[in-house]
Amino acid sequence: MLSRPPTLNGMRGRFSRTIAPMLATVPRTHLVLGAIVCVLLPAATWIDRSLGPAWSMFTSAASHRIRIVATDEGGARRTISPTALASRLTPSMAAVIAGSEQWRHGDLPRLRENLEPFARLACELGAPRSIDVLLEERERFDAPVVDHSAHVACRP
Amino acid sequence: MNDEASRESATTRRLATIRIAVALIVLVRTTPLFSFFSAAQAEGWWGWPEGGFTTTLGPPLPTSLVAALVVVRTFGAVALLLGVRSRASGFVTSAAAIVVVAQDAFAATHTARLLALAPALVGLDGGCTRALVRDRPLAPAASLALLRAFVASIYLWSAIAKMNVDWWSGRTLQAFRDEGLIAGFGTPALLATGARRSACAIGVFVFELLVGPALLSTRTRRIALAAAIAFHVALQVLVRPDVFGFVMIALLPAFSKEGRGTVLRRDEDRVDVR
Repeated sequence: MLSRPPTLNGMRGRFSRTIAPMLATVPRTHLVLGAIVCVLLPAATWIDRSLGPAWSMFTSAASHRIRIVATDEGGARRTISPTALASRLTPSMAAVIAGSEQWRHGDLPRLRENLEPFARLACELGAPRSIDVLLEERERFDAPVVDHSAHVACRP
Repeated sequence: MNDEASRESATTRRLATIRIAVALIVLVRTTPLFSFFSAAQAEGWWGWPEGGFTTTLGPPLPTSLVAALVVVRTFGAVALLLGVRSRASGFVTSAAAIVVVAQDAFAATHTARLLALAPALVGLDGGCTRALVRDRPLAPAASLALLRAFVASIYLWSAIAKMNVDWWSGRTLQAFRDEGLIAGFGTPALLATGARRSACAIGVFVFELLVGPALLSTRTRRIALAAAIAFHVALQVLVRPDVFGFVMIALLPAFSKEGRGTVLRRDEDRVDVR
């Protein structure tokens, strides 16, 4: 004899008979903590993808490239390698930024929102008049390149 | 009553073991003690503000405050290890660790996040026994269930992140290999061809998709537990993902025994929780 498929009322009844009483006995602390660490925090990282989605170890297909151009007095332009800024970065950031004059695999958490202060670091290299930074990012290997740029005047 | 009491004490003992293991890993990894285990990753005090530009998650804090939080995190981890008010020390350790991690977005690796979140969870009822200053039990069975849910959620979210063609094709693994980020023992042979990379990628995806439910089910828990431990040992050898695998192995005893626990209400009504 075939069993009847579950109905919505049936599922509601089962929930109220078994799962609801179980949840009612669990302290609120545990429910709140569980919701935060198991659902809310991971979901938040999927919304802000620049951090790398939660628990997505070794799955990022993002890549980036950084071009820094300094304009000196008189209008001469020269490129500055991102690697040259490594000594002015924290070790964690330097490890990601170094070598970014070529396409590098990996995420750049929050850098696009902080391009101007990042560009200002290059003002210390050779006393330029201004700095232009171009950050190119690809979310996946074959995704279109998305540009973010910043221009800072090194002298008031 | 004796049977229920013995079940609850077995649960609190297991939680205490997990608490000690996780606290030990947190303490070793976030302090200069780690230099004894890995000269290549010697970082001193993890998160200590040494200057330099970086991006932050939230407002940047003064250097002195971040340094103080590193100290607080360390003392909290010591207290958690020794079982001194583990519930409070776990929360303090996690809170301090989260704020420190947030001060350098580039250092907010998945290992850092796990080390920041785990203390609060393992300290909930992990200090009811095998502790210098014990906590009153809150709800040991619920604390065990919370750890199980947390571990299962990690596998699930990891599998979700792998639901794309770039992963299944092995292209992502190739990119990490080319960057030198996957260079453990055996990886050159394991990832030598496109077919092998794709097979590894799909295999890992399927494993992570299934292992969470398998661990949560009493029928498949034992074999899933053995498979999960083997999985993390293999990853530590092949991929060397910092101490992430060690923390996961330290949390897996939450699944080690099948059986029923009890959730005690303050009015002493007991409800069996399977």
